[in-house]
Amino acid sequence: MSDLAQGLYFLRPELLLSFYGFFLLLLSTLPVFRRWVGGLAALGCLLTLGVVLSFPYQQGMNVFQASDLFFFGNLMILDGMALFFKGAFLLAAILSILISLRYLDTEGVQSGEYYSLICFAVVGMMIMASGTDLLSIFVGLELMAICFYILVGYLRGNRKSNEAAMKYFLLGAFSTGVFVYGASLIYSAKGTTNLYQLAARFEQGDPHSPLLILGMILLTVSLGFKVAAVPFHMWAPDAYEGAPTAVTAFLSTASKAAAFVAFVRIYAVGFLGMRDQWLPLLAVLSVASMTLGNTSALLQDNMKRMLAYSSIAHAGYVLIGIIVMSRPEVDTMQTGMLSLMLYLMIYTFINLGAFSMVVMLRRENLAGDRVVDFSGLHQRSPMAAFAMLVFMLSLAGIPATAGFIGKYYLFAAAMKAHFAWLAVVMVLNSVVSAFYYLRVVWHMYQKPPVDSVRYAVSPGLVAAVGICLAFNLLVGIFPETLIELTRRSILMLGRAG
Amino acid sequence: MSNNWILTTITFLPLVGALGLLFFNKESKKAIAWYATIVAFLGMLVSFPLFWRYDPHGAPFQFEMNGPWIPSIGVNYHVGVDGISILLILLTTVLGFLSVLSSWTAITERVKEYYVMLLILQTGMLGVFISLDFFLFYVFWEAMLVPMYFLIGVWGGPRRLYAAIKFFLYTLLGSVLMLLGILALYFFHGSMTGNYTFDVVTLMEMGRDTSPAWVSLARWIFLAFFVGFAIKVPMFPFHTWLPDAHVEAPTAGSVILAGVLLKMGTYGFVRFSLPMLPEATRHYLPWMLGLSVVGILYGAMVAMVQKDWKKLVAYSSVSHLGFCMLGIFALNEIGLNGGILQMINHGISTGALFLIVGLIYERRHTRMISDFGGLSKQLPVYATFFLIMTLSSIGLPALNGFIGEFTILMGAWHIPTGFHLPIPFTSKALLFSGKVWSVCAVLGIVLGAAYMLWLYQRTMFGKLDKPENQGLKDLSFREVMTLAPLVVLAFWIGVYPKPFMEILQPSVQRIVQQMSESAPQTARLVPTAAAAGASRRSGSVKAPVAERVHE
Repeated sequence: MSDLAQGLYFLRPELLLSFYGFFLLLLSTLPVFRRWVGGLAALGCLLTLGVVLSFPYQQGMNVFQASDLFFFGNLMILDGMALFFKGAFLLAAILSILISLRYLDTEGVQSGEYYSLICFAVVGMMIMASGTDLLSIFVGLELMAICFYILVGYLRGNRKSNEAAMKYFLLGAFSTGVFVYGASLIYSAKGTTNLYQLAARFEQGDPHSPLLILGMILLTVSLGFKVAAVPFHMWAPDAYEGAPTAVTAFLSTASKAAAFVAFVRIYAVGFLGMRDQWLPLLAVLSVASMTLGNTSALLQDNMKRMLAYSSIAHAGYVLIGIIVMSRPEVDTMQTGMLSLMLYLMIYTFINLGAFSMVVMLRRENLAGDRVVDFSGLHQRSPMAAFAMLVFMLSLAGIPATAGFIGKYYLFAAAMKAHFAWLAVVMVLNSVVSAFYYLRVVWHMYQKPPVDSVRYAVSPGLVAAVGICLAFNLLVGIFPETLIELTRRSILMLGRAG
Repeated sequence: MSNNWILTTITFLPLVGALGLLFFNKESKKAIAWYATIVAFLGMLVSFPLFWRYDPHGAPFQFEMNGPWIPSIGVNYHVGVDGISILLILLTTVLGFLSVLSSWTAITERVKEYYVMLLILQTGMLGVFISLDFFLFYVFWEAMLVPMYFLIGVWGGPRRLYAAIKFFLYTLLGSVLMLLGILALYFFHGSMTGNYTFDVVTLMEMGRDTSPAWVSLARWIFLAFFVGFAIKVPMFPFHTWLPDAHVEAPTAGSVILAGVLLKMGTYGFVRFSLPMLPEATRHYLPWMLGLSVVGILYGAMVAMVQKDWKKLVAYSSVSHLGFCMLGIFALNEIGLNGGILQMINHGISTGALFLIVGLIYERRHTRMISDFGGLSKQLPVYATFFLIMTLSSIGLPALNGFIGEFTILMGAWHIPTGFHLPIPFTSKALLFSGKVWSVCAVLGIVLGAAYMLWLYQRTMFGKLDKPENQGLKDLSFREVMTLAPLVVLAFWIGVYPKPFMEILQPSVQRIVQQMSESAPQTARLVPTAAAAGASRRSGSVKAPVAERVHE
């Protein structure tokens, strides 16, 4: 098979979803179909998910040979990690679409473009997940980011949304600029932007070249912005608060996961030779994100801002996974990778669930995004309160929820790699974080309701919350299946080719 | 290995019962209370066979069940019990039943959720005592926080929010640090043997390891465990959550909290710290003993000045748990026996005292000691129960408290002399011997008698001068039934502790054995009169079972 043919074959999910996005765009111009676009978009993502899953199904888990994984002249790769994350993005997209269906009506901005933009954003993320070259990663990053700039400002009549989009766009554009600049410096130092070639060249050359270090720092800045790590987090609370809640949900899970894939590829493959240089950098980012994110979240009265700060803190936790990958032992590296993948997958389901509840509270004339708005939820709807309770406990990492399994793996990875101090910082932080998650719980269970407007419950929302709830409880109690799946994805990982 | 379902049944029966409760209409409060009582009663019944089917001289852990749970990280569903855990399980099921029974009239709002939480809590606590897998243990240990949080936070007193959050965060802090300790142990054992497992029985082998790398790591692990367990106990500087939680919790919550939850901390020390980290235990021993004794005296003195009846009982718990810790860290057979028996005793007498406070609170809606006086004329039955339990708490012979405290003091007396308590920032050291510890502890008993009797005098005797107190009704049949089993147990342990001692003895012996195997050769504690416990009766406790051997 020629490289092009194989490339197109491997690129089936991206191609399918792009065409599907255009198709939705056309369809939404016909008024007859306007009501169906949302559902069709979810279906499209589901189909794409099927295609993604068909790779391991058709080929068997172990037929992938390291050299076969690359395509388009080593620009991209289709390994287990890429497949795993593509699945995660699609699941996040499906859930976000489900909670958007009624939400957009409430906001009065129901239109077909919204769903196509989500599809295109997912295409961008999938390209990022497969990218093995700074350039292909950049292409995916830009595609994703541009879609999000529009989505964040989707509430045209809402000034907060406009402000959020503006901030996100300006800082985002700046950070992509920084990314390209960093990539160019690395190219000038090493003569390649391909991560695997970069890794190979480190074995010959010295890692201390100032150009290289500057390039690495610039890439860290740019990716730090994308995952909202302190001190590059300033945009996150505003963007999360202003954006339509369904978009926030998608932004805080899928786009963060996509940025972390790029993080892993760049640092654990390309820059592995200069691990001593990036290790302290990432450790500082991690500790700062955890600590500042959690302490700031304590002070928030707005649910979306609180979850924004909590997601900053969670980015700090996940960074530990990358830090662990700086250890030379193969199995320690794998533990780091495993913990990171597991955590991002689990976090997607928790956070989407939590944001779905915020969506439920958005009713006509009521923003419903304050913590107080959760008051008396238990009295009015015990099932909803229970779901939110599980999401909050899961975010806090209490056992018997999926969040604990995720946190456990990060603790274990840190301990295994002899980063006990990082583990201690992380556990102390998770105790702090328990306070503000519990605050939501006490509003739900111990306070009387503040209003009597009916909750915006819709079938799509119920389905999304149900899926997230089931995931959290099942993985919390029987995590083996998910762990095994993640482990296999790592076994299929492409080594230097 | 043949799987025995009995422990799984005991543990998960309340949970299944709680799920069944979800199908009830929340308005039919009577039916809910009956149902919950029946579930708790069944839970108690199924746990009784453990008492007579357990063979003290058989395998170390019995009724075992072992199957893979999360094989990729070496986590098994491994449950099993020895003598120590059996007594605690029985305590839990009995107190669980009584606390359900005591809630019939005390809880009138959100009844359904209340019993659901109470039953889930029961499963969590039982799970802690049956787990022989660290991961499983941790899951139960921490998952249990959530129902307790709700019990305090929803059905508690005026400051319930503060108390619930404080309890939750405090305990969470301890548990996550303990988790790091568990992980350190897990990875060290895994990297040494290639067998990554959380199995407690396997990890106990680490207690025999004397390599320098392990010894220095074990000290850190001990500290991590210490934070987790000491907060739960609570030991002296970590006790501040306890009075708040106790005072704000509803009666049943306090009973469970004092009766069972606190025991999880002491149980943790006995089950994990001592046999797995013997060297580190000895290293930190002076501190442990010091904190225990400070806890005894401090708890007693603070209890003395309380104006609130319930808070007084809460602080007395700090003091009593100090006794348990002293017995456990005496590190000899007799002390450990006493410490563990005292855990049970404290569960019985303090559990009963909290029930008694709850009964009067239900009638008067106040707990201020100054609001009462002369109640014995109006409530003779009540006063009788209160007197028995007061005396049991003080440690009057023929009641359970005496046996526990006496054995602990005997154990403490034989703590080898020569412990140095370094004075920080100087080169000097205080020399403490077992006799010093015992004398301090005896002082605690005296103080204990003082605050309990004074409480009794102020509330029960004197003139019945408050008009609100004159119309009070004495105990109903149901209320008598909640207290009667505890009185029976108090007398049983006080007069004839042999069956309990027999169950404990071999398990305790194994721990002491394990501890002494890694001890330095010059001062080794050898259990000599192994059967001493068998013939022990109230008032005629035999000579110490450990003596010092020089080689």
